[in-house]
Amino acid sequence: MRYVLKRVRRLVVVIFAVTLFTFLLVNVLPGDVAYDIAGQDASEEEVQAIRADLGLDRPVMVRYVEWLGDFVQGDWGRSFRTDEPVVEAILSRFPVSLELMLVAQVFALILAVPFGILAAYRAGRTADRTIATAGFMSLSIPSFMAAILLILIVSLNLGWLPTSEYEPLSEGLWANLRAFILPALAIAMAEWVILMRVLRADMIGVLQQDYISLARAKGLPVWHVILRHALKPASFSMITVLGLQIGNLVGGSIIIESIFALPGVGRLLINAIYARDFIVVQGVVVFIAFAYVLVNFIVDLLYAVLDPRIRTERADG
Amino acid sequence: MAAPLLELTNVSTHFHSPAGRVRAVDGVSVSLEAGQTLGLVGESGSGKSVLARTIMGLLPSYAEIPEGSAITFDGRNLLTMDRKARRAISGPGIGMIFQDPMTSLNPVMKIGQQVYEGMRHHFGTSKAAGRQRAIELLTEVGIPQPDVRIDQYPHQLSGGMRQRVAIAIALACEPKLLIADEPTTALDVTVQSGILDLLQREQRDRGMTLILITHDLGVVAGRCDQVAVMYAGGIVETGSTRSLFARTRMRYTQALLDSIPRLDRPPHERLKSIGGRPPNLITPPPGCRFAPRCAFADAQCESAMPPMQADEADATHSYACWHPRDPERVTEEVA
Amino acid sequence: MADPTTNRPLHPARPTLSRFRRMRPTTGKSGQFGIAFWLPLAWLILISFTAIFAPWIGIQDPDSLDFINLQVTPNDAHLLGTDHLGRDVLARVIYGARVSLVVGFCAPVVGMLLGLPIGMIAGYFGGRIDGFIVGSIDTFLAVPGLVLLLLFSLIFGGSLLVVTVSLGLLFIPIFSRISRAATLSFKSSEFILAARTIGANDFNILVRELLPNVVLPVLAFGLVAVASAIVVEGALSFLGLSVPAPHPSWGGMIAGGREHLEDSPHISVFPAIVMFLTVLSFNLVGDTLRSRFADVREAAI
Repeated sequence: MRYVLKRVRRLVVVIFAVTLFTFLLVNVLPGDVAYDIAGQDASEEEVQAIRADLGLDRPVMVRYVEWLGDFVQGDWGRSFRTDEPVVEAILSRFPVSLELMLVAQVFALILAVPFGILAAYRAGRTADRTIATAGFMSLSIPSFMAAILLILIVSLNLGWLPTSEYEPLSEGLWANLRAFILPALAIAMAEWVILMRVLRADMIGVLQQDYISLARAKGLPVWHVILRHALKPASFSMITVLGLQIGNLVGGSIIIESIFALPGVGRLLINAIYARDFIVVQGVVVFIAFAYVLVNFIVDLLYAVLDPRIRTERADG
Repeated sequence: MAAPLLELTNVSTHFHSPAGRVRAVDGVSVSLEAGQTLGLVGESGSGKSVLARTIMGLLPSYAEIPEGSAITFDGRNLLTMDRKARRAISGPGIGMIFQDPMTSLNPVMKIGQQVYEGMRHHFGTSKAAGRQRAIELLTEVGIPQPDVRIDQYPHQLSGGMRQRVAIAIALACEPKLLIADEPTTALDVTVQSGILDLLQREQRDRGMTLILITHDLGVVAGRCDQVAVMYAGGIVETGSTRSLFARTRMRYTQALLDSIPRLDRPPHERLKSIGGRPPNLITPPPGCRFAPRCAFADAQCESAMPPMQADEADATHSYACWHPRDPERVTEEVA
Repeated sequence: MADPTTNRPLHPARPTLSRFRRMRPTTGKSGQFGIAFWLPLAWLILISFTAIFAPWIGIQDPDSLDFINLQVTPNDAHLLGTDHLGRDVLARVIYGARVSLVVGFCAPVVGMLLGLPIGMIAGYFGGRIDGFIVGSIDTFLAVPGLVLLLLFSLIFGGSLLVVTVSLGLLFIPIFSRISRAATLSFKSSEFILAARTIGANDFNILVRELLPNVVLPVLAFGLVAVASAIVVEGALSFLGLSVPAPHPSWGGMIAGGREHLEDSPHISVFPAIVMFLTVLSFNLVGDTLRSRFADVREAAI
């Protein structure tokens, strides 16, 4: 229990540090935002008025504290372009980013699990080396490149999946998922290698255990031994890594959302950056950081809880 | 006389390692009648566990069984069978118990499932019938409250109980031959005889054949019909327990017996151990493998491998030694 | 990394050539200097050479517009074809390599120069200094790197210097972690104890005993960091936030060719292939060197 409290305290400290860091960073933007808001031919008084209105003429730390106060009450300001409240902007787009992440992780698992098992089962032999090489190559393709290549090959050459617009779930499941396939695949290209390597390492260790020998001594077929006996204990680390990767992906989908025009949090951020909409940028960055830290925190806790010493005790309920 | 249930003819198992070819088992021949108990004795590294795994077909991919080896079980050569046929024998034909019950039971699988899994696969037993049979088996091996234990996980049981579960798992498919690889080494002394008693009782009740692998001669003395002593990959002496203990011939066996601490000796007497270390199995010595450590070895021992010869009094007792011990002479070294 | 037989580090304060003879070659794919090492290395040498000496080995001007030959596929005059403005693709790829390689090397160097001492201080002194440094690193890592890079580019404008420095700053956490883990693993070794008994102060120990040993795992990771830096620069230039427009860059070329994927895919594909091969080569070479010379357990990081 004390462990949990310690971690919670760390969590809170980090969150505050992140808000401060982000606030300082965003507010160091040279070039007065007030000028941007006022427009080209505004007069000096108008600009000053806007500055006073936004509170830009006061010391940074004061502004930070004020902003923090508003922030924890749920008022994250409004976009000066669209006048949309930042909180709403983020929350309405978050499900899209979340869905993209989840689909990407599913694809990554579909690739990682069979290849990881195969590589472990045939460790050191041709199949293993081939998978390792394929992994290196896949890892060397950045997501934006994968996206372009996928569009080129799948959409244009093969015509299988025309680049489609995002449709919400209300329009139907397939219509909704269709837009996520290519972007999720682009992300999964690098993801699966990391997961595969972890699974392979653990699986190699598990396959050397006595209880696997005993299962084989019972005359059970190989696939049964691997899937029913070996996979469960071996996937522990991989699932941990999977959780951590989700934390990473929250911010990592920026480029992909841009390329595929998915209305997610990442795209909101990048458009806000281009437009120097610093209020939105602030809110989104803090949100992303918060999500990352929270996910890491949860995974950390789960790790302590699922520790093998305790795991089987929980498994029997 | 009926054909032996298990017959090993010139069985060798070699491992390919970066340092060379390790001859873990080299030219082992032994036969075992149905219903008998064979005690396989040897120190660590003698090859006894490797031999067990060779019989069970549990060798890693870098192992090789050279041409000329044959393992005949129930009339069929295990080494030349196809994989499916071989797998059909593991379980209903031959069962195995491992040394450390902590690691030989799957920590994330319920006990009941581990017991009836083999039955479901080999006999198509239904899950319900399997559970029922598992409860019966757990009762048979002496586990209290089997209906509760059946849904528990291995870590919730003590070491001795876990080994009993392992025995139940092995017995589930009613094997004709059971191989127990050092079943009590990892257990408390107080628990050990209970496990061995259980094994003996099951063997008697079911008419099973049992191979008991151990480094403890005391275990062998009371419970085995036949003994085979292994050293550095080969069998150096084998025969009926009585004959081997009473008329020990090979010097290594003698040294093993001598090193057992005895209660009827004067107090503060120095314990006898065997000096030196077992040989390198990649480049074993050309002659008798025990020669470098043997007090009675000479040039012949070091250059030529002694053949197995039969003892005059008991034809089933054979040994491989150039200068065997004189069985008639009763000295303080005789057990 | 320590010599398993004596548990002394393989790199004493005054490294000698004998250290290389004492190392045992590992078996397995990534331990050996096989084709997976020499082939990528050859590619890296080739591309570095052509990038550095481009003006002197007859590569065309990457900015010259050839209005007659717009978007042609590879032919004799233009080995890799031309892009939508008539510029020679091969030349642009090679000049783009300059950007990628400069960023690829310099950013990790910046990260190393700052991250190495930070990690060593954290690992060596422990306690609250360590707590503070680790906490700062965690906080820094909470904000996605790409976001920070975008902000920097916007604040300071896109240029080679900005990209290199800001990316270098982003590398500080990972190098700090590696150097800290290595420091921790050596801190309790006997040779440190020995140095103390002869009266060495902290600074001496850090610089003369620990530093030569910590440097190796850090350097070994360096090559993999180069691959990573090239990828990130590619992403940035894809978004238009690296070197400013007409200057060629791999990511920029890929982005530029995007609208023409249907009729002239070569505009995007060639820079993509070259970038892929380069990143792959750095990964392969880096991985071989890392597992051969300095395997810091990942759990320690």
